[in-house]
Amino acid sequence: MKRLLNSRYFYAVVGPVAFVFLWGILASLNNSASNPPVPKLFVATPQEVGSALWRLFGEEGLFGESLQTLQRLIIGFAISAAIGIPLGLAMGYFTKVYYSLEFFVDFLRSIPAAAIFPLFILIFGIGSPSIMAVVTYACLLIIVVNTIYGVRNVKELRLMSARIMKLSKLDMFVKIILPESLSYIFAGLRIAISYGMVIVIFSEMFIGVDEGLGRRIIDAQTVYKIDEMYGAIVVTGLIGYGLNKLALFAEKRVIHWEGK
Amino acid sequence: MPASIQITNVSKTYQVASDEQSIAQKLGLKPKDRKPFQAISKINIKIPKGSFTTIFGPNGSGKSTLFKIISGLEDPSSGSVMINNQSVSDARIGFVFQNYRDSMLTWRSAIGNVKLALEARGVPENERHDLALEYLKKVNMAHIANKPFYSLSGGQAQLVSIARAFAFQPDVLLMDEPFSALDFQTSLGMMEALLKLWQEEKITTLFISHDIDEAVYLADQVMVLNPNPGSIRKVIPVDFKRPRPISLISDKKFFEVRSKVLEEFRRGVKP
Repeated sequence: MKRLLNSRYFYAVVGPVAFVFLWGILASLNNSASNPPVPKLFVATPQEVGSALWRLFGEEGLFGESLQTLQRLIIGFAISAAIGIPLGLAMGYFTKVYYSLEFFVDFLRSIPAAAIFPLFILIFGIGSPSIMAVVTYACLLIIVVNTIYGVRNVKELRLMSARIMKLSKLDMFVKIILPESLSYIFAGLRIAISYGMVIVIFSEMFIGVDEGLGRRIIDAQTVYKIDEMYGAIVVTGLIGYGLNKLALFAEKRVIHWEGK
Repeated sequence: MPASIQITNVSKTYQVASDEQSIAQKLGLKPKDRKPFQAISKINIKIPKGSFTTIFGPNGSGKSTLFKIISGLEDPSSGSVMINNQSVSDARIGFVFQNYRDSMLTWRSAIGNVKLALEARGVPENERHDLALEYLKKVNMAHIANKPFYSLSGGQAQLVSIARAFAFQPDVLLMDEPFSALDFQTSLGMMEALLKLWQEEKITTLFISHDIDEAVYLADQVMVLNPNPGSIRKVIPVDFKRPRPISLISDKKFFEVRSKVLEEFRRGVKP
């Protein structure tokens, strides 16, 4: 018992369980009142959401749809990392590259991804490619900016000792600058993938695709299937939670020296 | 003895903004007038090959500037530095910083850090491991060779950085207060390890110290500096025979040399 009370996993479960419990009580209090403060139509109990999820996963292929959403996210994210990390490294390392591209980065940073929808639809048409493009766009800037910071924040003393040892430019980059900027790069990737999740759901709601979690949410909303809507939202949140845990795990493995 | 480092008439003047102007600079304004600030003035000294020289001086005596010039990171405003009759850019310099956390590669193992010096020297890959291990053995750190650098204690980390500096086989070894961040007991052990390695490798060493006992105990000669601008006040020879037991520090003769150094230091600081 004592071991259980000292375990962080125990407390990681306590919070969500208590939340569902509280939600259940409030929802059934509301629904059983003779004059409900919130119209019954808009309130779903945990049991209703649970059975909706059972139905959605069982008969309506929500699993496949979740995978589609995940796929759009992962592909968009991967493309942005593949472009963003080298671009950020170049911008951080070469001042001339930085000054040539600084305008674009800061210009685009203040334009929300949603505002670019029409442009991407124009280029990629309605459907999956457009959504992936929006995700790529949104993640790219976060990754680029963080990578630049990483390169810029390399300790001066380390560069100095490398210069004294007359390390070549390439060695300096590969052996010092790149490993040291990894912690910033990873922080960028982690923020980007969470943000990417938001963007992919949002895009699915407004760019015409037939399948996907975002599509589910907006469809359920329009026909007042509140239980299904919350079901899809819960799945979205769980995927986001899993992705963040995965990213943290990868970060710990790759940059094991960080924070020690 | 042939001179290993020959410093001739070296002065260094920086163009810095005046106080008000440097505030302006911090606010992002361009400083209008800059005034010259002389860090060191007319340093002349020949340092014999294989000797151990400690540099003892107050704040503002240009110790770090001198090291930057000898290591080729900065050029002197006037004068010249020759190392084994070569210009500094052709010489090999070993450098040990006080801040090992920021100067070593925290993501590598202890031995990986020593290997960096071998990589810089161009030692073929298949010879690096054994050679690096040999240098770690010289500072009694072979047992932590594969530990990640971040997990080392302060003393261990600094011994690894000393091993790295020696592994570079430098013409000159520069040490900038390497033991200042360590506790007394640890730094005693470090001094012993350093002297042992130095006697084996016979590398000309310059050592900035702010601890007078350390400065006298380690040195063949103590170079006392004047502040503002930094210049050589006096070079005091220390000729106790080596190896020196640590008990030397409480010896009467040691105290005499120490008093001489302290006297020069105090005269230099007095306005």
